[in-house]
Amino acid sequence: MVIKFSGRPIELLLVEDNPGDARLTMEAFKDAKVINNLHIVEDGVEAMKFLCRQEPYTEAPRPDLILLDLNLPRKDGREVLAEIKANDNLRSIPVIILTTSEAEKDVLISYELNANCFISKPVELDEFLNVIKTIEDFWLTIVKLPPGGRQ
Amino acid sequence: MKEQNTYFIFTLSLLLIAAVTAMNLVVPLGFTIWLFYIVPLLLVAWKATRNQIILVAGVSVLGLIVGFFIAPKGIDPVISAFNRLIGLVILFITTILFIRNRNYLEKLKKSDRRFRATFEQAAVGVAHHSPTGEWLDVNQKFCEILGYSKQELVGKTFQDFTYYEDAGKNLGLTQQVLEGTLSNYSLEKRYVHKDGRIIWVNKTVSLVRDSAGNPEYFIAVVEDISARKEMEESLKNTISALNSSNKELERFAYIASHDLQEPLRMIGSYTQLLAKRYKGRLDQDADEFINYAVEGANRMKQLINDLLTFSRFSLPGNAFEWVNLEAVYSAAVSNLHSQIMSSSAVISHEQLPTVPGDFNQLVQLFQNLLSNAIKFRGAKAPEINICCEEKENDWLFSVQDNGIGIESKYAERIFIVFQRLHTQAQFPGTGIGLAISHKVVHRHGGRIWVESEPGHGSTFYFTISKNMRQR
Repeated sequence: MVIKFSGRPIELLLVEDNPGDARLTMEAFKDAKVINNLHIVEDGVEAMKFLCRQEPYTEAPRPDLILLDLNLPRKDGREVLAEIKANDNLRSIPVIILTTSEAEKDVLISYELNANCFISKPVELDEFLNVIKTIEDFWLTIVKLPPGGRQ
Repeated sequence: MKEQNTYFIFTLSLLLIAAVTAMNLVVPLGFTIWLFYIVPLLLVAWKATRNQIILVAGVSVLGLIVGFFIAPKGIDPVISAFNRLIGLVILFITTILFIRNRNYLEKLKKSDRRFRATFEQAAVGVAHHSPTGEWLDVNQKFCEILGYSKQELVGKTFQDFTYYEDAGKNLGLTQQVLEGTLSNYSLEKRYVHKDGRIIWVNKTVSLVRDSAGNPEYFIAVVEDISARKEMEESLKNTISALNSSNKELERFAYIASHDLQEPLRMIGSYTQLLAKRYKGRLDQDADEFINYAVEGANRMKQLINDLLTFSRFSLPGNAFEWVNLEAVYSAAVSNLHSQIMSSSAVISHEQLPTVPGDFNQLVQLFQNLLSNAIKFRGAKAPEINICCEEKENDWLFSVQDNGIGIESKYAERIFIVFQRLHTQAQFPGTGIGLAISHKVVHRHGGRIWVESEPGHGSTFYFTISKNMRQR
């Protein structure tokens, strides 16, 4: 049952430096009910380039949802989050913090920087798959996302 | 005093007395008679032994008496006798005075020798120094401590040999004593030994004043405490090294287990993914291999989690507060609700006190002990009894069960991290609970032990200090 099908797939941006985690997320989204394009970048600098359509991402779509890890090389997730939320064009894109950290201060700072939600990656595979499924159900199905996409 | 010398003088004295007596034969000596006898006495008093003095005095008396009879009768015999009697009295008094003086001098000399010996042979260094610091006299031990001879030290000042860092402090104290604001002082200071070593000493100094109250000299008693200082230093180093290595170890355990989580999550997730996707699609061997990999990853995850928990208990915890153990007990029982229900365990407890401690850690302690009592149950439903008893400085608690019990030879091993007595199939677990309990009890200033007989249940005892001080 594809509820949200407006002729184009949902564009997802995953910012994750661990290829294993990235692949796992990819696998989880493969089974999604919603047709989606998962774009993966490895660090904060790349993420900002992607979002601002700089080389080599000049053809990148505007993501409907961003999954952001906090601990990233070069430019970490907190900086990326702050930059997104300070950018008039990007601030409307929902950002989900998806991280291994459970530290209270990370949760707090994420919300202070206007993250849309904070999720700790579960250790168990099944739980992880479940979390991704829940993200999909909630953010891609139930929630009405701001109009955007390829502009 | 040389023997020969005294004999010579003694003999001379006797000869003089004989000469005076001989003179009496021809001259009737008058009132001045005693003058002739006093000279030999003075001679022996100057340099002779006490016995010689007495002998000379005796012979003089004899001479006086003999002279009375042999002297030519030129004067009235009554006056002559009177004269000689006066001579006798003067001789007697002089002899007594000389002997007393001699005794006094001997006593003085003896006491001086004794003091000298005390000074020289004292097991501690003793030095006298002038108000300006020049050494007037030093003893053998003092020379040994500094490595210099007496000749090299006397005349120099203590400042010359004091380690430069301690000189100011020492001089300040000396000044205070001179001013009279301090009657004496004691300080630990360093000297520089002749061979360049630094010597730690404990120096106690007092000031001797003359009768007018002016400073005369200082007496310094110096004890070599280098060995003690060295030991103190090495002890301090050892303790600090131990502390830092302990901290490092705890941090290491925490970081290692924390950082190990990441790759482990990968192994776990992907083996599980493999199992999920490919179970039954490869051959039987592959399924078995994947199973072992999944199990291994799960077990490792458990171990790392437990290690993480264990090392968290090693990190400085919350500040102590007054904790009602009734509340602790309730929390523990509530956390174990499903375990208690499924095993039909019956738990009874005495009224529990309020103790200084860390609430969460104490909940963990009660929970671990109760959970163990339930887990290691026999055929019967678990019956657990918690008792407590007030002691002078702490509370003694006991958790008694009717479970399988523990052989006494394992009674200590069970408190060590990851030590287990059973296979995973018999009783699953990693062996962390009692290790954590041990840590918690230790932190609360107590100790924990077990008394048990296999097949007849176990009783775990632990104490909690009444003192608020954290370990």
